[in-house]
Amino acid sequence: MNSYAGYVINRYANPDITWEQSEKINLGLDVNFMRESLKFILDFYQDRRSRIYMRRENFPATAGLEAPISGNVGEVLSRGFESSLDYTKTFGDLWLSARANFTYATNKFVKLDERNFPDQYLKRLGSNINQQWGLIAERLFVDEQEIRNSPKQDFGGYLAGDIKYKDVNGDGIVNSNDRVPLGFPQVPEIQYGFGISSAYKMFDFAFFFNGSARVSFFIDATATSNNDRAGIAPFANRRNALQIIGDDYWSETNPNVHAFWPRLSTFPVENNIQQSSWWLRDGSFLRLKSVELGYSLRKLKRLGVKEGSRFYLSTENPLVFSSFKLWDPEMRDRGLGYPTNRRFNAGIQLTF
Amino acid sequence: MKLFNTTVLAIILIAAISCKKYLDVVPDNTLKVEDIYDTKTDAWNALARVYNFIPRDDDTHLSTWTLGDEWLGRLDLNDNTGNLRAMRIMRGLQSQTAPQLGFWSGTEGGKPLYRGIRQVDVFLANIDKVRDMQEAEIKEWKAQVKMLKAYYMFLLVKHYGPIVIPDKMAQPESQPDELFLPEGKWKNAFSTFWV
Repeated sequence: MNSYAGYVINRYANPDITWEQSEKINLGLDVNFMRESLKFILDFYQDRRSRIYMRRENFPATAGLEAPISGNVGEVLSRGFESSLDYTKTFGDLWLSARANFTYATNKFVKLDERNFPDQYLKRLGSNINQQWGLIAERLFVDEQEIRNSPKQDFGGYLAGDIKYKDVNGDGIVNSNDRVPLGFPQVPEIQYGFGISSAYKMFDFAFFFNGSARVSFFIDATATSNNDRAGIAPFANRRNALQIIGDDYWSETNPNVHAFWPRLSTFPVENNIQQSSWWLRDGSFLRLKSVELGYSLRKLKRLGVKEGSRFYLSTENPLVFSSFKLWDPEMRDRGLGYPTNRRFNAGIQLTF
Repeated sequence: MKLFNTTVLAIILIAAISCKKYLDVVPDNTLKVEDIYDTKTDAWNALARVYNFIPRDDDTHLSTWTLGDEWLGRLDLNDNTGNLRAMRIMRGLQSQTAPQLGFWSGTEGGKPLYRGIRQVDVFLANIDKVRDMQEAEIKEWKAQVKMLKAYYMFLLVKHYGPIVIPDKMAQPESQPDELFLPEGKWKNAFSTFWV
């Protein structure tokens, strides 16, 4: 049946909108030891950003407003420190330079206009602005008998072999009210790096590590595939399955309730692709970012080759250490996205 | 140098004065509520808007008519979360976060009736501004929307009991104590039908 809806209100004027305010405190320490061969820098900061323009979610339906209302209602407190250590020294023929840096940054909502949820764990107040909420996955359903005796899950149809979630508030139904804060924020709180550059007579050698910690991500179990998403659901859009899914999935002949992939289907099962602890992974890693070995050609001076010419072998991203093994952890949820390159170079550099 | 200083000062002064005005601009082609209540053709849209909040009982998936024990079909006929909403309630899939056929805030197929009531208030406050309408016609339209307001209130009372009655129109800058009104009384709920 056709209906005629009349006009639509997209936005309400808010004449009281104003600028955000930011109160910053920076404390720095800059120390040199041993005749400036060892340098240490430490910077603390605190940023209290108030009157942040954001959605006013605590607006009752009885007000009858048709568009979401925003206002200067948010306040976020960010804190952290940056530090770096530098050491440069020459021992006879050996020249050595070592660097390390470490950054810790965190933040939390101090004030925001959110709904007055009866379940306190749904509130974002006091949590990191990048914190994610999700359901707690217990395991896969064993059989129909178990489904009948468990709280109902309100995410579309589900069968044996689908994910069983925990009814956190105990109201007999699993829905978006049972989401709890899961894991670390999506943006790493700790980032660090260290490396050494050195030279011994004709040789030079350098490497650099970097890493991040206190970060989580969710495997994208959907079939969505575009610029931002790369879901790994098998068989969707007539594509094949990842090896890990082929090796470890729930089936009637092998009903493993802790398998990597739940019941197979030709399209993603809505019940299984909910953001939940089933897909939560630790995103921290340590990566060997670059290694370079060189040999200088100072002896070719008589052929008109100037200083700075050399042979070298270098590589980028040769190694990564992480508890997550399926793909490069820096790819995070985009498992089927374009991967980080691993490069190996060999070269001759000549200066005339 | 002195001239240069004066020029700079003048530019800063001009910038400071014009800044506020520069930011305080309504984008072009922005239709405001006042523009709708200008001619009868446009005001007709506003009337349609008020009517639009009548619940869709004619739609199989949005109807409240299957809310009952009289249903003689399979309850698990269709597992799609958007379908056969009244039957989802019968199957025990009612939810606190997003109630099926929720008329309070218009969740899961319900019509947001409080928005309808606000539309009526906006309509009544502005309809007299229409230039090309006869007095009698305006009166008739007013009667139509008043009836609809009473009907929406009736539906709310039917579903939720003594409802909150918004006697003042909420504004985007309203503070929580103006917004969260105490629960109404039965007596008031019925007397406000006849505005």
